Amino acid sequence: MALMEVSFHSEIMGMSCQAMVILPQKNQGIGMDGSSQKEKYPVLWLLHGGSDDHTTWLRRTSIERYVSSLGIAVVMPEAHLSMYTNMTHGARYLDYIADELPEIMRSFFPLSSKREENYIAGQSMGGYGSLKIGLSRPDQYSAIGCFSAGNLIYRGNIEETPELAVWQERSRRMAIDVFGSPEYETLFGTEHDVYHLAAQRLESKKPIPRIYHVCGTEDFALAQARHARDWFSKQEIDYLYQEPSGDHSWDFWDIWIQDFLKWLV
Amino acid sequence: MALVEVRFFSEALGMSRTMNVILPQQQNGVGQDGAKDSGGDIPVLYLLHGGSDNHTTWQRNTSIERYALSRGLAVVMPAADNSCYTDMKHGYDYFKFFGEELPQIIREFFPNITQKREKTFVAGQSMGGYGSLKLGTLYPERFSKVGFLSSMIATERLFSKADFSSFGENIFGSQEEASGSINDSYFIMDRLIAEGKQMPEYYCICGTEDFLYQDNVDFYNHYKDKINLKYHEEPGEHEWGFWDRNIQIILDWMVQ
Repeated sequence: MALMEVSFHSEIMGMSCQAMVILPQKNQGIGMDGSSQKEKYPVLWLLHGGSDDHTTWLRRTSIERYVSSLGIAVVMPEAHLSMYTNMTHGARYLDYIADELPEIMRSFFPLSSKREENYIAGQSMGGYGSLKIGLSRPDQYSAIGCFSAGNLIYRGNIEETPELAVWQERSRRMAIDVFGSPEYETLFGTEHDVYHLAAQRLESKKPIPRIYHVCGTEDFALAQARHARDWFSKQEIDYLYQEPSGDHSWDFWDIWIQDFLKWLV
Repeated sequence: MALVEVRFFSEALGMSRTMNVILPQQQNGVGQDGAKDSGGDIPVLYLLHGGSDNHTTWQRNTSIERYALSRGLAVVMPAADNSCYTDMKHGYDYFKFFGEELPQIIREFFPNITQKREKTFVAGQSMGGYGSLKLGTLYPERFSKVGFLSSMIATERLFSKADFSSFGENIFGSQEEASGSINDSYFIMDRLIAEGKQMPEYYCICGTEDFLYQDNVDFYNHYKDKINLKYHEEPGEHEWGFWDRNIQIILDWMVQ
């Protein structure tokens, strides 16, 4: 694979932004398969979680090796702590990642713009982001992968987790900056509500992305994931839910991204 | 501007390599104008570094990104180690990489960079000047303009100084092997002239205090009436301040 680190100007963000891009290459060097050259490659938009950046997926998993024989490109943007949302007090991250980023990346690299060749996935904050962006722009993506997350505004018991104690105050402030309010119930039925987005699309009768959803049984996000499972499994959606043993960690995501890629292609 | 650091596999070199690519954008941040829309056919400068440099050096030691952006140019800066852009006698096939493989890789990854000769240029400083002269003269159908700053022109240079001679030996074998080969700047230029093919335009720039000054003056005097060769000299030494100033002259000439 070829690996690009791209720094570029985003008009929506009003600043220089960063992304890592993996592009297929026929020849790889020893110990690694390549894939044949295409005019334009299918793209997986791979979103990071809270506290991560555009390099984290690369460093903590073997994503480059997993895609090397699949002939798909991977774009990993940096999204700070934005929840992939058009922030109430902050920048329009959703519009940036859903609309501007693909346009910029396609102007640089040989990436497909076809719906059936564009996919979006992520872990934790990136799992919510994938559902949100995928269902906000269902004409742009044919598949969504959500790891260790769900419809974020249905919190479950996340706040009661001791590991996240240091995040309590931070997540309150994040909720205000991102959504305008720490009262998540006020967000039900809005653009931040993934069930609402899905319901709107289902009503239109137009194609809706397939969804791959996985969460470990020891993960503090489990209640949130199950809440989403309960809702999505009742809809006319190609929806796969799995609950293997595991927790909210990179060991888990390194294993399950591979399963997602098998399901994807 | 976008800056792309590309890590890729080179079949010619048999290893993983790095290059930096600057791509124009129409919009940029505060204090920087954008480039006009090139309609998906972006002019490109292959910018070759000198001995001891790498794929980042031009960027760090000059304002190449700002100069390129205002002229709407993409810039490709691969790492070349200390290879003199040559298929080394004891080493790797850097000329094969730069001459044959690199343009294919650029075409594969960056489909909006031009394939047109009139918008494809090569330039470099010192060892990179030698490389630019060589690439442009051996691939005249690919490059319309060749800029070379403070260049190594004669390979004899590497053999005349004791500390450089093992360096020269690994690259060229010996001065006898270099003479009259594709590694000989004069030989390849004479051959191209004799072939009567379409030639690039050339621009030679050197500082008057540069240790390579005489080599550059000699080259200019030898070819000024035989090929389209411009020349500029000014006070200056073999250093980055000189190259930062004078690359701008080369860029203006390239995009006019």
